Amino acid sequence: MTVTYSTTGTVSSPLDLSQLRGEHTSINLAGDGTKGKKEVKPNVKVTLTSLTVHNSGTLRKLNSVVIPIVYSDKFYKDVLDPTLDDVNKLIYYADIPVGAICCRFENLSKGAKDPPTLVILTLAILAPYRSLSLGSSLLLASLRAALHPTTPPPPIPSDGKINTRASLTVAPPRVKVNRALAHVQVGNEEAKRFYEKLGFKESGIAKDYYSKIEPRDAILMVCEDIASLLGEKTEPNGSS
Amino acid sequence: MAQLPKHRQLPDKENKLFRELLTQYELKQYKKGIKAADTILKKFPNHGETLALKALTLHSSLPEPLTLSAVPKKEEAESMARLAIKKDITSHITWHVLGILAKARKDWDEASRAFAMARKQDPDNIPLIRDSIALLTHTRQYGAALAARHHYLLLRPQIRSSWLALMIAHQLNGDPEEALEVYNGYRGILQTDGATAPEKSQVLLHVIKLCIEAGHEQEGLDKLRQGVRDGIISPRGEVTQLKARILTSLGRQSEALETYRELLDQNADNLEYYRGYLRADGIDLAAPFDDDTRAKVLVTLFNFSETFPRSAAPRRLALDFAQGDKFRELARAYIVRGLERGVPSLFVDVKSVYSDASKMTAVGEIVEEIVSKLEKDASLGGDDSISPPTVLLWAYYYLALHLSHPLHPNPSHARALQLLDLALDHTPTLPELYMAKAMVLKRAGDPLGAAHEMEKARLLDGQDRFLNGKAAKYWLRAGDIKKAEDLVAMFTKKDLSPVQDLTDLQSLWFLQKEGDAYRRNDNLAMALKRYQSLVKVFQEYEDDQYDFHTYCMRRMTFSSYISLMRYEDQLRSHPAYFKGALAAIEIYLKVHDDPSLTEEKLSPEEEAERKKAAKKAQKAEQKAKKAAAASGDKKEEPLVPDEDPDGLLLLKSETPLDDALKIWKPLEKLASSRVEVWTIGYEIYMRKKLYLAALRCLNEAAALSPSDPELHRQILNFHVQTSSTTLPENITTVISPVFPHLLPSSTTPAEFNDRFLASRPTCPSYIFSAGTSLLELDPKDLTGAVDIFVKLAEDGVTPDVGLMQRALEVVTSKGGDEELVSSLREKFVKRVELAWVLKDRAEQEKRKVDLEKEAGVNVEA
Repeated sequence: MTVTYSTTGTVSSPLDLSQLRGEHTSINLAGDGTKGKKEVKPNVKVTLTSLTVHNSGTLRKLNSVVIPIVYSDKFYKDVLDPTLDDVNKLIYYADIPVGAICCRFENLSKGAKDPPTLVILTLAILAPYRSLSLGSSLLLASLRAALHPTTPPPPIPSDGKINTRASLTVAPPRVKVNRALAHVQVGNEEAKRFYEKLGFKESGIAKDYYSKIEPRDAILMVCEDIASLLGEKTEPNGSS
Repeated sequence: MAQLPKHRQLPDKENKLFRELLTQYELKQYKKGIKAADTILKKFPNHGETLALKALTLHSSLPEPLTLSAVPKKEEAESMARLAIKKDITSHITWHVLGILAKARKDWDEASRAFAMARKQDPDNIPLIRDSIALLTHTRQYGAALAARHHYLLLRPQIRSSWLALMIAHQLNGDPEEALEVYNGYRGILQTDGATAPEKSQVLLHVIKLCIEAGHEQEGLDKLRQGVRDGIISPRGEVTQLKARILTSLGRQSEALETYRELLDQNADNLEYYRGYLRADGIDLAAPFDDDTRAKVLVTLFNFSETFPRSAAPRRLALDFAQGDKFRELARAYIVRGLERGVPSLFVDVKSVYSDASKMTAVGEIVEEIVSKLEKDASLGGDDSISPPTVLLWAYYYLALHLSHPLHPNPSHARALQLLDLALDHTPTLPELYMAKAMVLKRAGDPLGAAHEMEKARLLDGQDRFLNGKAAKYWLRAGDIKKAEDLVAMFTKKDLSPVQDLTDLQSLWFLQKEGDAYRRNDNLAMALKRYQSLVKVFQEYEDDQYDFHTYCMRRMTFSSYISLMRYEDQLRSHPAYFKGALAAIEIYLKVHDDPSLTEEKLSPEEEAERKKAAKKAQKAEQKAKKAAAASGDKKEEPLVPDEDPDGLLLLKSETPLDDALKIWKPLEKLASSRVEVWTIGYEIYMRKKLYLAALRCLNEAAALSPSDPELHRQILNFHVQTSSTTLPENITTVISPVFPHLLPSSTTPAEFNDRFLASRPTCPSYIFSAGTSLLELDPKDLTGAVDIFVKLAEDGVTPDVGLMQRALEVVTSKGGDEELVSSLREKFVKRVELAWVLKDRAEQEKRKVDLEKEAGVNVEA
């Protein structure tokens, strides 16, 4: 595997959306049967950017507009964790931030019951920019990053006021994560279909997952093997 | 050797010490130097040259920037240098030292006088001449500088730079012909040129420009071609531009066109190259076009846009020249392309065609059509594709800016805000939308709402200094100085106060806007302080040029040097100086009119608070001193504190009018084409009771813009003032033949005023001027003035919030009663509903609370 370096605070190279079109078209057809998929002209540049303290205002704005849940300040602080830098991204469409994905890792410790898992917390795309393959490309980028941890991991700034080079500690290398999990509110067929088309499977219901919105239950959408979803050779889960 | 005068002679031992002193000064061994000087002075306390050298050594040993403990030493050095002159007035050393110290103080006039005296004592002293030339050039005494250069050349004819510097001296003295002569003469006697390649090319390039200046284009062209052949100058870049210019003015059309095409191959985005091409093609761009020329120009530009498909320049330029349907077609294509690419600056790019009202209307219709088509079909292309969703977004943005543009005949701020809200529903993460909203609100007269919108934009990206600066600016406009300073502090040095850092960085906008904010908050002292800092920044610009007089001669970067000199000559015509200076002058005038403004009006509580704060500061200072003493930390010697932290000393000036005049003088010379300069000058001179100077200002203003609204009021003011006092006869004899040109004696002043308003009854500034003029004629006729001011709120008159505000202020200050003011206010508010600034205090306070509440909710969410 080629060595990839920390991308903290950087902008990715433009993404190629054309390869996603196949899967995407079918989602669109299922979601909105009246209109066929049309080509977007002229072509638009799409890039990913890391989350930082500075653009967290943008992230808050995106989530508050798209998702009916109000997230806590702690949530916005946690997603900035440097070890999550490669899976948490903003997506820019024509240099405008239009969507974001926030995840967290679970079961990374050795004795955990379930295999290491990438839990997708939020995936938000502004309404006018849906059906443009942005959501899938964002999700796929995170899945790919989960499967291939970046080396070396980004440094963790100390909690003190001033961060010098010396006060930065290197995060321990992360294991490969080959399992992903997303919660979809019961009744949100569109979201459910979105995950299904990408290769996620329904695996049960989480009772009373949401505390403030109705219905309160969530469907668990799980992908047990990210590698095969991405079309890569399967490796044993949890190996680093 | 000539006999030294008696008082200058020293015995051998002291003479040796004196020589050592000289070398120690040059080697920067200041302590030793001072010791040596003291030894001599013990025996010969009246030896002037030693005194002078001691002063110089002492002065050079002081730290930079000056610390508190060094101030008395500096004064000692200054007075010692003066004493030295008294002791030995015929020594070049004493005068030279005085000159150097004056130069360090940036007192250029005294320095150049001292150097002139020094040169009289020792005409052939090379370093003296060099310093003196720099000073003469700096103070723009080109004739004297030229003479000194000449003298220098006679002393050092074997040095290349003496010749070239003489050439520059001639050029600065306004004689390019003679400058060329010097250069050619020098080339003629030159055997081998030892200059380095960059020096050669710099010199040649400058000489070519000199040829153009002297009108010897052919000679310039020959030199240029020869230079390129010899490999002295590169054929790309500036040289090609010069060539194209020469060929055009020589009328060698085909070669000129060819050269411009070459330039366009190098850079197809330079509008100047296209203009140059068209000019070379025999088209006068300044004159109005007939149809044939227009068609020809458009065809040329179209061909260029085919040749350079990636360049927007030819397409944009075509919009300036096209008319009617052709304009529509081209403009639509240009705008669609910009929207599809998501060019944020599209509006700023296109709006310069708005000076043509018909084009403005056309553009408005085009964008309306684009918006409605996108809302309907989500596509602009005729085929089966869809446009990216951002196109609609940028179209909303464009249309909103278009609708709120000041040139718009009927600006609709409400509709612009609606469109921006639509766009925000579409994409709430684009900072430009909040910025546009802020701007629309600002124009509509709601600075506080605008600041809150700008704050939203800033919160989207805390790392963006532009957004940060913008937000600070809007808070200043809304009067919240503390908040603004907190914001800018995020990006300034941490160990300085943000204001100090931004002053050091010469941030003009900040000084101006914070001055404005203080002025609006009735803190004239602080406002004046900021405006004076602004004025000082320009003084620093001017002083900074001093080093270049010698540096550029040494480096032979003559072209840049000449352009620097020309820039410095018109430095104070810079709009920032203009604005800051005008504001400062207005404050001085206000203080002159009402000296009670300089007294602080503090309530007892405020007084107590202040005392408390002062005590606290004193305590903290003492504590810091103690701590520093305890730790034995001596590196931090305190710098000289600001003598006037609140600007009160400035404001309490005994001579506000003279201070104002000092700022105004450079404007008179350098911004003489701005009518505001003359109208404000009139106000100063009238208060100084210099009627003839005031009349001159009126005449100058009338020559620039005979129907300027402010001028109109001043003419009536002049009439009232001069007829109410008896003037000496020699003044009236000057006024009486001239003044009727401004105010015809055949009409009464009242008729004159009526006629003025009738000439443009729907222009807001005319209405305002007519109202204030009425008060000049009869200060009691407030109802009459209000009757005129009310017209500002009529339909068909473009609403101008600023003037409405000023009208309210005028009526209040002239003693209009509550009822009159509030009835006027009501009418204004009804006309411009978004203009919160016009509403009364209570309503504004309530809104402030509401907005803060809303912002608080958003932060929590």
